[in-house]
Amino acid sequence: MSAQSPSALTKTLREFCAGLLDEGRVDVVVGFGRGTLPLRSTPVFARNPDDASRLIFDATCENNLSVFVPKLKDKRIAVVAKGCDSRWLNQYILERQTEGERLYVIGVRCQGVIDRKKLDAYLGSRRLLEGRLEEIRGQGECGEGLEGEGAGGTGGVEGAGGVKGAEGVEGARPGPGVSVSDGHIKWHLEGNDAEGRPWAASLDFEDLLSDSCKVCVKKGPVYADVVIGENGETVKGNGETAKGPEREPSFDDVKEVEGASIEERWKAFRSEVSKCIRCYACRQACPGCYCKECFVDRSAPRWIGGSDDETDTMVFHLMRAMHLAGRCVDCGACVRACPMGVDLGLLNRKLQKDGWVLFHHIAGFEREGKPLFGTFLPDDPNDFIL
Amino acid sequence: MRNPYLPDIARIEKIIQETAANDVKTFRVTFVDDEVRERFSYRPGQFSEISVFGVGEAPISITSSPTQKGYLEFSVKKMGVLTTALHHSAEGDLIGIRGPYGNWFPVESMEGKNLVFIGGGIGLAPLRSLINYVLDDENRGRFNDVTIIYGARSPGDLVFKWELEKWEKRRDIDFYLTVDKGDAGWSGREGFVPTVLMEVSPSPENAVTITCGPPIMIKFVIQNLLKLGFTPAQIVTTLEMRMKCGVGKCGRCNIGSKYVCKDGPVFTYEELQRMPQEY
Amino acid sequence: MAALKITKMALNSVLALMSERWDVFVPSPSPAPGGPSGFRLFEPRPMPAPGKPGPSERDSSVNRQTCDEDTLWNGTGQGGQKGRDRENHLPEERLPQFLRRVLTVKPLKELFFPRSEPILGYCVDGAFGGNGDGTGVSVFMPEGVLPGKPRVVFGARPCDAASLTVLDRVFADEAYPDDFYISRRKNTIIVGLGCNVPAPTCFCPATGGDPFGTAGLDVLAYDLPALDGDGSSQGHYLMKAVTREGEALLGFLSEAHLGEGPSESDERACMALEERARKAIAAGLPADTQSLGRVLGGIFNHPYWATLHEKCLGCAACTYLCPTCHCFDISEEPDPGASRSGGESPKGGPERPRLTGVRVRNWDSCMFPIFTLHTSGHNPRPTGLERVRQRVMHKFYYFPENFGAVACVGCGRCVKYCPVNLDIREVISHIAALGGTGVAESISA
Repeated sequence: MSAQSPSALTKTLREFCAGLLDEGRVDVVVGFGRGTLPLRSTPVFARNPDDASRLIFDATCENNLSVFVPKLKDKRIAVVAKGCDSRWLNQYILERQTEGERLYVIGVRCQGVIDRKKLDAYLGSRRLLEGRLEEIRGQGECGEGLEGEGAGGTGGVEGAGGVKGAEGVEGARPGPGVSVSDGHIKWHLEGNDAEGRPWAASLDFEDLLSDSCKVCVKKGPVYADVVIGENGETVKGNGETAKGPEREPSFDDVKEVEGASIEERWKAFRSEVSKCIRCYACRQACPGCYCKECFVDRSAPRWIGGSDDETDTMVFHLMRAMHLAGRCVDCGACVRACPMGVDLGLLNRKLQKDGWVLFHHIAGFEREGKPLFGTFLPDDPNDFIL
Repeated sequence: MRNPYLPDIARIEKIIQETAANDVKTFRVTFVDDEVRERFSYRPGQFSEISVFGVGEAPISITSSPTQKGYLEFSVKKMGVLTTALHHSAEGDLIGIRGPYGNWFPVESMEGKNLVFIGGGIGLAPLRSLINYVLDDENRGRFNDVTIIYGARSPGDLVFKWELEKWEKRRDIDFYLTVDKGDAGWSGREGFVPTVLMEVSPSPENAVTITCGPPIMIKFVIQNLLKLGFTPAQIVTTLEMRMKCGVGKCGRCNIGSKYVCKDGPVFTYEELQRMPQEY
Repeated sequence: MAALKITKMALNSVLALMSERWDVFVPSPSPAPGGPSGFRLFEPRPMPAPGKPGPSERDSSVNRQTCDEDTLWNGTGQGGQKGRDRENHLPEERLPQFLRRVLTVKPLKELFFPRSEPILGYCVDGAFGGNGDGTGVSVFMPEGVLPGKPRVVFGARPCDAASLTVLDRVFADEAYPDDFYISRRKNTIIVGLGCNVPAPTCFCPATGGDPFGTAGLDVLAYDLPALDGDGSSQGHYLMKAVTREGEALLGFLSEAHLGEGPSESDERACMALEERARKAIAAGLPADTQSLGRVLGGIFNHPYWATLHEKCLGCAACTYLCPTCHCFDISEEPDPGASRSGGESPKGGPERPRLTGVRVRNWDSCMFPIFTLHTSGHNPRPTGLERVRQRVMHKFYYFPENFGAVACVGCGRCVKYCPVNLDIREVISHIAALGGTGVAESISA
């Protein structure tokens, strides 16, 4: 990893968290630290001010850290939260898995995170020895034709972004020229090839961006006790949660699949499932999979077999998706955790689309009330419910 | 083709209801194939993997003694999927058996010694194999005094009652039967096994003690044995672990570098002290 | 035949020829963008008719290294199709290029110890267990489990091959030999490919391995780069026999005039490759794992484990992708529709139900809580602390104690695919450092 000096955001994050721990306002800060490989981060559990010096935040911070909250025994937990992490923290409170008072949300505005499998695909037989993000300023106003362009929205007003800013721009279309998607930020990669010759390359930010980040509806935290902006400024949260997404969710990927024939969809599903080795990295990486005993592990009754039988694997993925219906925040942690490259996201996205189309619901924006499928109407027009 | 997972077929000859709650049954089985019946030789303390086809397998200690020829006995407490299926079986049904697996009680080194058996509940099952081996006419002379302390939570939880009577009548055994709490029909001893152990207070001299029962009982029995002067090497016990293969490959039953299915299930307390506390 | 040199362009012909006698397995293009996923059966193309040229050396549109990587990538990860199909159907001509990727995602063990395999079949007549007269239950070997045709693996990395010598100790032991594994081992010839440029995650020397190690291999191939004027656009494979089986394989190829003997300069090139690889991998190695057991023996209760496991998610990516992890589960897979309870026949008379099914061995993982959960609810390894400790202890302490070798070959898959970057190399170094500080002694004392 390059000996890059820490970003303004990271510097503030370290100072702020050291303060939190020093003052005893929290017992642990769950954040990210630099990983052992280029462009990799790793979860860090900081319990004293010194630990806080290991914290970072950038586009390599790919895990959804909220997954650790139910496992931790610490009394007060601070979580460094991207938009999606903060939405799961909300969901935990909604699903009564933790109490809001126990959490201290350190919101960070996220521009999207890396999908290492895309990096691997790019590398092929090249070895990556160094990688970093480089900001290239003053290079054109706006990128062209890139998928998910302009997703950033409030990029220019990072500091005020997050909690308050997000509400301010609810539903607004993003302005041009300020998002990361316009090619201003590049991945700089260096290494050697299969013959030992050095190479270097510069890739557009979008090229390695996780698919779920391309369709992210809320890059800042939906709820935060404090938001740390890109330039290192801190903004205190207003104790409210954002009312909804900052842009209309796009489900083009789902629509494309829905447009296919049932045979084609079945074929595609089989092809995805055939890669699965049932290591359950997806389940374990998902904050929503907190069941004490997963249905796949039950012996009485036994829902599915333990072999790599195709139908069993299909049942696993379908049931997993259904268990997350109305709950999945599309953070993409499952997709990124999967070592086999199974496109798990699509099933979740389909259910998300249904939630949006039928109920105008996207998970993670409420801390109170009932989960989407925790409610039903006695006079529901569909009689299958009762 | 050597397939270590292939069971032999055995027929359930007899099913004995052991406990009042009917949660323990003893199954007497014989191999269908005469050749297998000849080949299957085991020592007290070993176990088998029992198959109920369509349900699965579970490791069960052999409670019969090798001196009882022609059949095997397994006492099974209804706990999980396999044992429940086994409980639902009838005399005449066919099951699968593979084994015997694991080590056995150190019978040779017990010769000429006083033997103290301490059992609790279904934990008597593996001890019973050794007890009946020792009590067999051909073997009895090779061992010194035999003391048996056996207890259960209630009279209804005592297992092998049909055999306990025989042991009680024998003059070459000191037999102490106890229950934690008696009932209306109980005129015998009341008290926890570890307490009775202190009352009986066997001498550690030239003695070996063999104990099996619920973990909490074993814990206090061992404490008390140490108080009585037994050394860890004189205390023998047998462990339970989740197992699948039975042959030291599937990886789940290890305690440190020891595999309970292969290096156990019989360990001395001295050996256990050298192993991590992870069982 | 002790050594044979073939041009890379001839690789397809070589594999096609071998396919006549063996089932040939090669690293497979990934189902996901990013690298070969495992090993797959090589399917030879029909040979070109006589007189018609096959893919020629001069047809360089797919052969040039740098451009090839980019053309591969341009079809992946981008746009609507995500390049999935394209990766799946890579032409065989690209195989030499794929072989340069360091590792398959799934390890070689899968060809010997598959993710799932039936270990027996059964057929039960009667409602429960037989006809009541001692007949009606049969157990048998399921068909098609054991490979019929002998096999050749081409392109396994030395770490993967070395992992088989670890698995041999478990599955080919004297007490309970496992012929599912052993028969596959016996009928498989492994042609390894030395690692010219190890990956940043590679650490085989810390486990006693080497980028050009021959443990577990029958033949070791060297990927010799193209040299100016040697007439090849892609370079050569120089294959050196390690075992008699390997010699026979090379002899077979040599008889078909598919290569030539190596020259002295080839030998020098091999040496140079070995030296360069060793030098490259030496930087950034963790502590030697072979003496780690001495420390681990004393730190079972060290507070280190409590901090180590905290970020572990408890998935099985590390164990399933580990070439030496061999834990398994045995599960019952009754045929669908088969009923234990029986039922009424359509005619109303009592039906004699028949139950058939298989018993299957599946990969299992010490990272799962259910792995050690007793039926009673007691779990000797109840939390991530015990489970992560078990994995480390097993690899570097228990296994060496039982079998005299560490159960790690330094392939780096767990480093690469761990979703939270719990890097075993770091763990190794931490533990070695604990030993260095005398903690081990004080804890065990």
